[in-house]
Amino acid sequence: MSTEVLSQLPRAPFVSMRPFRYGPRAILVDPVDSRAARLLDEHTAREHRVLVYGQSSTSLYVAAQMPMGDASYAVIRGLGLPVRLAQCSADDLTAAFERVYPAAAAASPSVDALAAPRRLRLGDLLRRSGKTAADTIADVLDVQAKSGGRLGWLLTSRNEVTYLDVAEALAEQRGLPLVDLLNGESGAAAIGSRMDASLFDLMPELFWRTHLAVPVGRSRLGLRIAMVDPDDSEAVQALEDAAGVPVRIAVTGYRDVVAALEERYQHEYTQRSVDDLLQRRPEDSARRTLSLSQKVGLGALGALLAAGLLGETLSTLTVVNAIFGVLYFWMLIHKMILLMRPTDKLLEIGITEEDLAALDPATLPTYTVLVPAYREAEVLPILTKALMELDYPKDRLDVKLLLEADDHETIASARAMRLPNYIEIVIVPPSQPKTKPKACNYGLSHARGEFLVIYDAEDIPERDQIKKAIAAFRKAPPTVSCIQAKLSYFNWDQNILTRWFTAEYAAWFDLLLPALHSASLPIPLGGTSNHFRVQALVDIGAWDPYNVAEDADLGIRLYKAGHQTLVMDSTTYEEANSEFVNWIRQRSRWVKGYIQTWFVHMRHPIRLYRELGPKGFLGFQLVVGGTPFPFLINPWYWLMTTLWFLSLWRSVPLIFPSWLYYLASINLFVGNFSFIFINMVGAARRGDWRLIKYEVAMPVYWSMMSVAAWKAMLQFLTRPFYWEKTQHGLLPQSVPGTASSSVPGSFP
Amino acid sequence: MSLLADWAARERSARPQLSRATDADRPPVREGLAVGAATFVGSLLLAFHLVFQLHFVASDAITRVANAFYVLFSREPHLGAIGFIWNPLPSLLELPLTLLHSVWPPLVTDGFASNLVSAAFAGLGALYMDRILARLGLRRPWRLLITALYVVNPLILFYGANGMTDGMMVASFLAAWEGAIAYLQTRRLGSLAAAALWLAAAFLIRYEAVPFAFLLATGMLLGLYWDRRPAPEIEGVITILLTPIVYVGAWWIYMNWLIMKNPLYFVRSSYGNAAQIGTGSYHYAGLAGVAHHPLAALLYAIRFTLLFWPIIPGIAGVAFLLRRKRQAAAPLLLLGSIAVGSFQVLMLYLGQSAGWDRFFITYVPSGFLLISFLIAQLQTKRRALVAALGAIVLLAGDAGTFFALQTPVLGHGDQGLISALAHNQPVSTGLGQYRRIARYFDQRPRLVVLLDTFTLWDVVLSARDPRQFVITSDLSFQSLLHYPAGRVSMFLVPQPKGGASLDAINRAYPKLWSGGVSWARLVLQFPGPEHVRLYRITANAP
Repeated sequence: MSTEVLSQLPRAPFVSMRPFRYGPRAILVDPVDSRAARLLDEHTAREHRVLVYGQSSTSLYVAAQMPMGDASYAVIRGLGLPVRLAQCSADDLTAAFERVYPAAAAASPSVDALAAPRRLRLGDLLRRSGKTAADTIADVLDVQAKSGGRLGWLLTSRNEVTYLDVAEALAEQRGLPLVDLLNGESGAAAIGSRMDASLFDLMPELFWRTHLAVPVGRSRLGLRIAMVDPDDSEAVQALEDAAGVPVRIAVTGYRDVVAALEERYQHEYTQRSVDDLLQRRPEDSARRTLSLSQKVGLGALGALLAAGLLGETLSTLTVVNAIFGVLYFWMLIHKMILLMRPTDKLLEIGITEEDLAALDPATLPTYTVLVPAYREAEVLPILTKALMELDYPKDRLDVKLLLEADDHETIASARAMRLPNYIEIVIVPPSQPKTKPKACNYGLSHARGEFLVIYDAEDIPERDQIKKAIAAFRKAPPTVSCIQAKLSYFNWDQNILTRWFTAEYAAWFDLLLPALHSASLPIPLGGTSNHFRVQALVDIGAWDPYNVAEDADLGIRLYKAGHQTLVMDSTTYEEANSEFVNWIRQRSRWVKGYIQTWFVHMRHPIRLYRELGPKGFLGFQLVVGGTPFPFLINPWYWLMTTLWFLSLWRSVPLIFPSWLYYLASINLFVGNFSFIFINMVGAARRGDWRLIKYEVAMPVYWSMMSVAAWKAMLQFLTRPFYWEKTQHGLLPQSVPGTASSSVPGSFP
Repeated sequence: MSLLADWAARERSARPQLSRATDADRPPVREGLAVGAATFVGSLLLAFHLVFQLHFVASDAITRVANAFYVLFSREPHLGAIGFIWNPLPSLLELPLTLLHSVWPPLVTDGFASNLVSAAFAGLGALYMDRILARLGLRRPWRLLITALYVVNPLILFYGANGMTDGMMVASFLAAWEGAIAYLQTRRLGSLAAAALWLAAAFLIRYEAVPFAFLLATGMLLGLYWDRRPAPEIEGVITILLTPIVYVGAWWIYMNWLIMKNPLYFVRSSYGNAAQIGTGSYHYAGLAGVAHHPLAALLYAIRFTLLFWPIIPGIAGVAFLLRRKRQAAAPLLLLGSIAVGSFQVLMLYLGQSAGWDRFFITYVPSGFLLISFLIAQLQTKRRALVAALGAIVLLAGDAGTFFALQTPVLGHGDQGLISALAHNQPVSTGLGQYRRIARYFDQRPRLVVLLDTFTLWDVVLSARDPRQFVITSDLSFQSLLHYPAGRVSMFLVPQPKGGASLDAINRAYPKLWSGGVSWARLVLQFPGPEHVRLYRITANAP
């Protein structure tokens, strides 16, 4: 009987015989079944370069270096069973023979033992080359035993060795060539000259980025790639499938890959960070502030109003007044009802100590942290301290410090600081609009993590926040794509402005957002500490670079796309704006963003209604429209009340028919009282007891909000994309936590 | 531990209790609702008996209904007609009920709207009594028994049914007490907020809420201090507790200033408490010698503890217990219990109190709470015996109330009435004379009559068309009173003696009733104790 070769394809498929990591615990799996391999004796196999790597009840799986060669064919025919033939690289075969045959004598060899027989361990190689000390290695191995991770990343994240050191040791261990893309000839410029840019087109950008590989050349022998992790057989397999030729591996450092990718894709990254949303969902982009129909509508409304004022002044004013009064009343009552529930109920997703303890550190994924900063050299030390204190394996932190190319000062100080390796400086190339959301998009293009969070440069997240986010994502249904942590201020006690500001944040993050979340309404995200599933973020087009309240807008778009946002019981401490003018600038930017967001999503009110549903639509009006509305409208009522009291204008009572008068009185008296009281309870809920007495005077703060709101309204009409930069580092002592008195809930 | 972690940890420790919706640490909700509903129904039945079988209508209750009635049914409907002397919440709650007066007139003409509201508050009071007893740790049979004993206390029962504000005040105090005790026990902000809001509501019912709130806050402060809570927390809690009542108080003053042009109108009004006392109509022998004598005033207030004598052993027992064990809820109960009594001492000293029995009604709930607290605290082997003894004391207290109310001194204000009710005799409230006056105007619908509702409110309530009358709360009242010629056809005026001397017409024209004003011609004098006269305004009036 002659052997039937089943795989009569023009060319047998390529397979890899390298062990690979598999599953959530990254177990090393050997594709070669050693029992099957021993169907052939060692001598024949080595001589004819043929390996039986698996068997089923009906056939054998055979890999050969030259499957169609005569010698191989003869051997294969001799096996006597149907054969599924594949082609395999010489390196792979040699390594596989090393694994299978020496171990054949042992009773039941473990996969790990098979993986690296007679091979020096990475740590030993690094130690031998003098790159690091033995006790450091021992330390890191201890950590690895507890929390998993890979030795190379563990060492580089502690700045013990460089990425290239690891690459060098790996190359030596595997007997693979080393490629130094950055320093080989003349730095970064060398990359371009050495690489054939078209080779990148074999695979999408995402592939190169996730597998940390770059193509370095193509020859008769196949495709040559440089990669950080030579064990990444999945990548090699995919490439071989795509290229149809064998892939030959060289080892290189992480920085080298990043630099090469930046070189190749920078233009694309920039384009994407500016245009992605605009191209995919132009109707959701704030690039165009008002749509034509909105302009026509507003114009018509203005004309109607003007005509009314000229013809029927009193009736027109009464109607306008009534509309405002009713809207105001609805928002007051709706918001009050929402805010009442969370005063003594925990509506946010609570992660307990037990939940955290149940997290197996070995299963923690890579987590990207985006830190956009502009002209903030002075807060970098706070950032690095806060990041270093994070309770998360540093080898799986992927921090991108996003700096604008023209911000030489911050770039210089960041470089001078010798940041830990897991903090990567990403220079955002100059392009318009120069906004934080664009920088974030640029950073997103570089993200390696499955999850991502944004922090401002001066943020101090609670140490376990990222772990909590992981626990929350695992606890929550898969539709949850975003988890917002709470924000508060570490300099709350600096002056009355920061006290009010902190009180306001307590009401916003501890009452309103949890209430919105529990009522399944859209949640406008806070500027920082929002944790995302990266995939969801990419799917909806990430941040709108043209929106100055990109965070709030993103929350609405997530909701539109059917994603859920949760609020998590973990706090990030920021620096509150302590200076009046600076505060007005910041606040007016936020308010402008809310106005912008409202107009963007209200381009097609009916479509929005369909997308959000009746409840979500009302929630959108309440939260996005209703946030600036009272502050815009308050001065009108103050003016009316003052005029009435001073009796300067006898017509005031005429535009307040009695029902409206009572309604407006409720708005005034009940509104002020309930929000003061609810804010007090909100502060107490956080344990910020010391703030409570200052909240009695909150209406003063609200009047400041009106100033900012009108500035925002005027700027919305004149300079919609202008980004009012907030200056940070106004605090005398820059790093908090050094004095216990700076904690609202604590006491000396 | 790093500074930051340290910081976060301390941050945590100061946070109040937040709970999931399914938290077990809840008061007995269903039990409370059942107790409250039963009390409401019982009080309503009693009210029905009082109003429609014994024909008893409390004039202070029906005037609140009248105020609500003017808001919607006077010549010039406006909310301000609710009046700025007496606290507005009872009238505000009765306001929607007056809308039904065309369906069932007695809601207004017999003031039954007020009985409905006071019965509802009686139910609330029983509900909160039951909850407090649960919080103090009494087991269900005992707390149901004690709540029942509380509900049937003659003062509580009577003021729950008669439409007066005293029962409403007691219920709102109990609710505030419950919130405060619950906060001390569970540190749930919802309870604290509820206590604070109930104090504000109490202010809108009775001014006695001010001393009560002040002493309750003091009790809270002590309780938190004994619990070793940090100073900022104590400060925050007290601020939250008092903000609503202070805000509402400020709002009330502002409203008085805005509408009556006098921020302290409710204190100094020509119709207010001080003015009424000033007429001497409430003077009686028991009050003689109390004004301006601090000791006598104090003794007067102490003597009235005989209205519910268990409050004395209650205060003594809790004070004694405090010497051994600092129990956080004790100061709340002790200080809250003496609040209204102390306030009365001050008012008696100033000569501003009529010294009625109902001003001491809070002695009843206080006594119940203090004795119950003692029962719960005495953890002896014979707990059932202690509880039974306590219940006997409270029962004896109820009996004491019943007898005290029928004595001339302790029953001051209600004595005759209670005796009559105890013997199931009908009582006359003298409202008949006003109804006859109203019939007179019903037959002359074209007359426009100016009157002061301070005494003559029942004429307006009983008339077929209330818009026939120019009343005190009308915006044009002052103008029409002083310049009636051609705008008002008649003045209706009671004889200027006692409280009726505060009638606006009598104050503007002291001699008009006796015929000393030339442009007013006497039409007739209606029969009745007030000697109400009707004067025609002639053409030469101003």
